Amino acid sequence: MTDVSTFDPIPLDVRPAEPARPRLLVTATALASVATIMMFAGLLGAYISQRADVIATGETWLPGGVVIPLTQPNMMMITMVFSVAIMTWALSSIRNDDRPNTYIALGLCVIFGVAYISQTAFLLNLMEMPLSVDFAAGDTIDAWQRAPLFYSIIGGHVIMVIAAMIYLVVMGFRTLGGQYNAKDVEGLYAAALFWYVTVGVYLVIWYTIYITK
Amino acid sequence: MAQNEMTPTDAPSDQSVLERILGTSDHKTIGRMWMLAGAAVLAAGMAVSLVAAIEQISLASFSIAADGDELVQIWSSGRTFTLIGGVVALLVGLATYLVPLQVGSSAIAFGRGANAAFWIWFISVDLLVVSYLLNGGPGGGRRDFVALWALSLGGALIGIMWALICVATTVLAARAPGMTLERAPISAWAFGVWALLGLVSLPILLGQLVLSYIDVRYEYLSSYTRLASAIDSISLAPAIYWLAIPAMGIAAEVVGVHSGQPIRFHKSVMAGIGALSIMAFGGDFLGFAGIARTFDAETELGFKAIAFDNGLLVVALFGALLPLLVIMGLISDSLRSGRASMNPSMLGALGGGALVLLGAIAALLGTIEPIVGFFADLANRTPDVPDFLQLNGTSFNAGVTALVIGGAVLASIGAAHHWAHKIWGRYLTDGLGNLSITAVLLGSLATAIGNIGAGTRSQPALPQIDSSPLSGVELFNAITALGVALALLGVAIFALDLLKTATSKRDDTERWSGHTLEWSTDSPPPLANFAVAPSVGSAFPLLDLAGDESDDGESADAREEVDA
Repeated sequence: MTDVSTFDPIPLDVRPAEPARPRLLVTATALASVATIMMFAGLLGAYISQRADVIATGETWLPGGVVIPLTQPNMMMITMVFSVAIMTWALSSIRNDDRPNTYIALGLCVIFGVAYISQTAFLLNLMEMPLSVDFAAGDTIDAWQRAPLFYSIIGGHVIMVIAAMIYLVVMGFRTLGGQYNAKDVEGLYAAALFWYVTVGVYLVIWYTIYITK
Repeated sequence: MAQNEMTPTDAPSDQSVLERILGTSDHKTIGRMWMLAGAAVLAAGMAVSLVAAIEQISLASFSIAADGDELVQIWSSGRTFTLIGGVVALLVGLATYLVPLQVGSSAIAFGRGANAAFWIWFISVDLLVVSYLLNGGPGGGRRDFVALWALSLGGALIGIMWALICVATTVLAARAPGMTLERAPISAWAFGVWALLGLVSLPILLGQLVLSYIDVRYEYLSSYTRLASAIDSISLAPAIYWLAIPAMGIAAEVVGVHSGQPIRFHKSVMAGIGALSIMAFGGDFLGFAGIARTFDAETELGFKAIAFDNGLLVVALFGALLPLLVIMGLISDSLRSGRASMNPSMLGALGGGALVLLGAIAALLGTIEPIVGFFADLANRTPDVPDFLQLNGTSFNAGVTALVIGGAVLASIGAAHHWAHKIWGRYLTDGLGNLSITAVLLGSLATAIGNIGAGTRSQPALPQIDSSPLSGVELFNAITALGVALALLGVAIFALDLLKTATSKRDDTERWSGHTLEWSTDSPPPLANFAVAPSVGSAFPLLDLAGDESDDGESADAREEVDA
């Protein structure tokens, strides 16, 4: 039998572990999210401003023959809003240590992301927004940044969705590897935060570009 | 576990130097890399700026540049390398090295990310050089390399922002037990605020560069003026005060140590730094003024968008002066009540603070035009501002920027002297330090005087050669060129001193020590920074320690006073 009175589970010469640093990933993700929001805010501000300048000259903002249909943007909006509910399901599942449901929810989120990208590509093909300004067709010089702004914002958001999906997949694998569980969900929280911000940015783009046109 | 992001790793010692610097997550190695690269790029950027300044002395003909486009390229490259490649990199290096030590952390948050940030910045700056050399840049004639310019400048910004995320996360989430934010050392607080402001300011510039890239790549309707002005969103007052934030933090910290009297009203200094950051962010609001203009156009409520722009500018410029005065006042109080010993650290800190303050005062000249315009608008008459006071959009802006950048460079040199032993285990040379600080100080002043003087003669902000040049600007432009040459001399001396120190013998004597945690560990610190994880009970943990040892009651009173 082990002599309990002499058993020392922690040798004295071992340096105590440094206290765990909570919320590093969440903090850094929040900071990255703020930076991303500011980038889109700057671009959208320029878009709105330039659109107003062109409209003030009596011209139309969109070039002749280009129409922004509402079906695809609305479907993309619904897809993204659904993904928020799915992400909340993933977080709720991991908090209950329900791994199968966590993986299903994370997988669905990624699929929703792919669906969003696919719909965006379809929409851009449908719109065929020309990259150049056609002065002969009545474009004014004020419209010269129209296409670069449009593609910067839409393309930038697609990149943001891809980044959010990669983040989700990495955190999903970390969860699969046992790094995150009901007691420590920081990584998934961080990935979810970035996903929510991605959806929030899309809602602003949806209203600013697709609805108010 | 979150601890993974906080575990520093260093490459095994049998690896080559290249393998070691590529593989390290030790913030000290990464910080040194930023500082050395930053000092080198700063010197190179200022050398290019000198060429542009010499070319501009006589505006009637070209002597160095082949044509106007090439002059714009030279001017733009000098400005970009000085700011993005030099000053910001120096400050990122100092922050990466010092912040984890000051907040009592064993490592910087996301050490590998911090290393990746450096290499992204470094490679991007190299590509930036390539783009300028191959006729890219704002005035460039080769479209692909103009696109490369936008891409590489964007890459450099991403590297800087990534590094800022690591710094800000360390300040916010990796402080030692007991160290609340209000107990953080002033310079760590300043670097944290600086990082946060950078993370909301730089993305706006990044957005502009994305836009420029797509435009140049597919359409190319951007004028060189627009491309060259892209960096204005961070280089004009009040946005340029972003660089003043760490400069003021360093000044307060260094003066507190070398005068023997820590800054009183610690929290007031912190509040001042926070207020300064809000005013510096005011510059970014100007970018959103377009939304106000839209509001005006769409609602027809008579909202005065231009008045809104100008009002924000005036508020931000005046608003920035107050916190600067408070911080400099408290620094002066320490100098008065302490036993100041003049050395390069003190000279750099005080010179840096003074130049920033001077820049903020000079910037107020730019408010005359909008204020007069506002009252003229109210009275429904045409504004009547004398020509010499119509300064916005002239080289006056470059004069104010030169003062603030000069202040940040001086503070960085002062900081390098102050923490040299902690960083390299050696001291920088006092004689060379005094020389470099004096040269940068005088050079910045002369550059500012030259630019502001030429601005009063309506010299445009962007360089241009004119067949009928403005009268009386040659003298001012010559003063500017002399100033840039002097500042370059100072930076070159500093860079040489850094190299000399890095290759000299180690010095084990401690000439001074501060009141914050970095002074409680070896110089340079070991891989995990502290032998025992520290915990603190005030903003001056080492003063606490000294007080406990002496136990005379007097030091406790002093601590309460400075901690108020």
